[in-house]
Amino acid sequence: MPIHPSAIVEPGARIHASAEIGPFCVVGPKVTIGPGTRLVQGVTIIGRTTIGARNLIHPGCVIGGDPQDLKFKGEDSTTVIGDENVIREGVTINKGTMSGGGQTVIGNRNMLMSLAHVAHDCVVEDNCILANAVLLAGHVRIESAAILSGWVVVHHFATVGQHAFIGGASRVNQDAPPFMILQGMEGQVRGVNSVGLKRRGFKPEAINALKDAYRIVWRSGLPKPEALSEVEKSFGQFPEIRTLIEFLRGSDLGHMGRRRESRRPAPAPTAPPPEPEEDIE
Amino acid sequence: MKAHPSALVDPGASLADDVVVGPFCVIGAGVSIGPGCTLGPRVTMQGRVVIGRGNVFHPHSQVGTPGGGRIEIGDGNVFRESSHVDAAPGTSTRLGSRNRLGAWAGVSSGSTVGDDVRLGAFSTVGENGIVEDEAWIEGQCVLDANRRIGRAALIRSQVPVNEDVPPFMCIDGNPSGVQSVNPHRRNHLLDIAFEIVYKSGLSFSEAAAQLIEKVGPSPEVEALAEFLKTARPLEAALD
Repeated sequence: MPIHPSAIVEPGARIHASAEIGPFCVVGPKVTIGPGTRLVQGVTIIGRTTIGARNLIHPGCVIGGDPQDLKFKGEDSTTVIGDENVIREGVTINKGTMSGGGQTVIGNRNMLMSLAHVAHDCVVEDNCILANAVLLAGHVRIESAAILSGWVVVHHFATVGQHAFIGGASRVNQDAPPFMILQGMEGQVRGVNSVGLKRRGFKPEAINALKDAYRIVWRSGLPKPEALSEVEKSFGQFPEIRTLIEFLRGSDLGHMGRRRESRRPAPAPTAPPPEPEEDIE
Repeated sequence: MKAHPSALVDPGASLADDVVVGPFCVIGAGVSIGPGCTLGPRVTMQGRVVIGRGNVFHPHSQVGTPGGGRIEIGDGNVFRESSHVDAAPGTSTRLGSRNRLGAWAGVSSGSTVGDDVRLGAFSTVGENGIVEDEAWIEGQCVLDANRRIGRAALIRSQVPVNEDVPPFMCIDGNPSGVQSVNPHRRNHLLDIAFEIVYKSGLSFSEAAAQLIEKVGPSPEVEALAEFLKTARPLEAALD
């Protein structure tokens, strides 16, 4: 087990024999690190954190720190990181809160570039890219293969759909629909992520159907429920279209255009002033 | 003091008995830390720094520089990963109590931050800035130097702040502007006051003179009027 002599690995940490812990790293007592994972230098891993196989974690990352949430009362929540992720310099990943599910999850083969911040109870699925200084507030879900460009901010409880592309320095205040490109201070939908879909082997017919659906939903001026039923009638045979429709209807079921808002814990009835329950993102 | 063996604590530093200093921390001479503070791994404190009770410093956070100005920090603040508080030589920076600084957030030299302020991740208070109590600055905001943020003002994420933000107001957009009353503090009187200040075409000083008379007395409106007497609107602030 190549652990550099200057690294501090507290008793209780479970580190696989083939994992590498570089100089000046700090690994807390409840941490599990899988085979082939490499902590380059000066990485801090604390809390009840499980890291899978073959991840590469660059200098200055802090993983598993306490959530930045006023509801957090020191509970023993967890952070789970899958396999083959690349986590670049200075990334911060906070552990979960019990009221939000108790777990922050990073899936497999994601790339988190420098200074990205993943807050409590977030779920980042597989093959996602979070570019430099991306800021995920609490309870956010990033579905598979989504790309968030530099300096993107995602509102808490928002969902970014699969294969979505968010342009640089945008704000995602509501759910970002799958397969679309969003850009702007209000996270406006600008078109279909056709280049990304083509590269990932989506069929041209499906991409064309998505483009037609985009025109009907966001450009025709039809009320959303009617637009969605029209899209369903015309293109319902494509699974991508069914995913898109289900996602958009789900967002309407939530609150403020965010489906996961329904997971927001109800304020305790005994507490009269509803404390603005945000974390500090 | 419970210092990890790998931490470098200067003998000239004065730390209370129950302060916990994590691995690889660097504490310079002239630093004074009150009871109940926790310093996570790799925290750096140098220069003339006075820290009160029960503050939590997360990994990589940084307070002061060697040979810098004076920094005073109150009680019960939370400094997240890589947040920093600076003071250039000859200036002094003050933070009150119960403030929460997000990851990579910064308070520049000469600034004064009140109590219960939330400064989101990546947000920066410019030099000589004033942030009053209960202000809420979301993530990735940039505050120009010499700006003043009133009590319980809300600054939405990614907003560049080029003007003074009056108390209880909400600033949004890029280019930014005061858009409404802070939705968390909204009430009927403040709504009327907002219309008078921002929609009637009056200057700040004229609006301040008329506010109490037109809206009626309320502590919040009085605070707003008081702020407007000295606040600079955008045009003046950019001169």
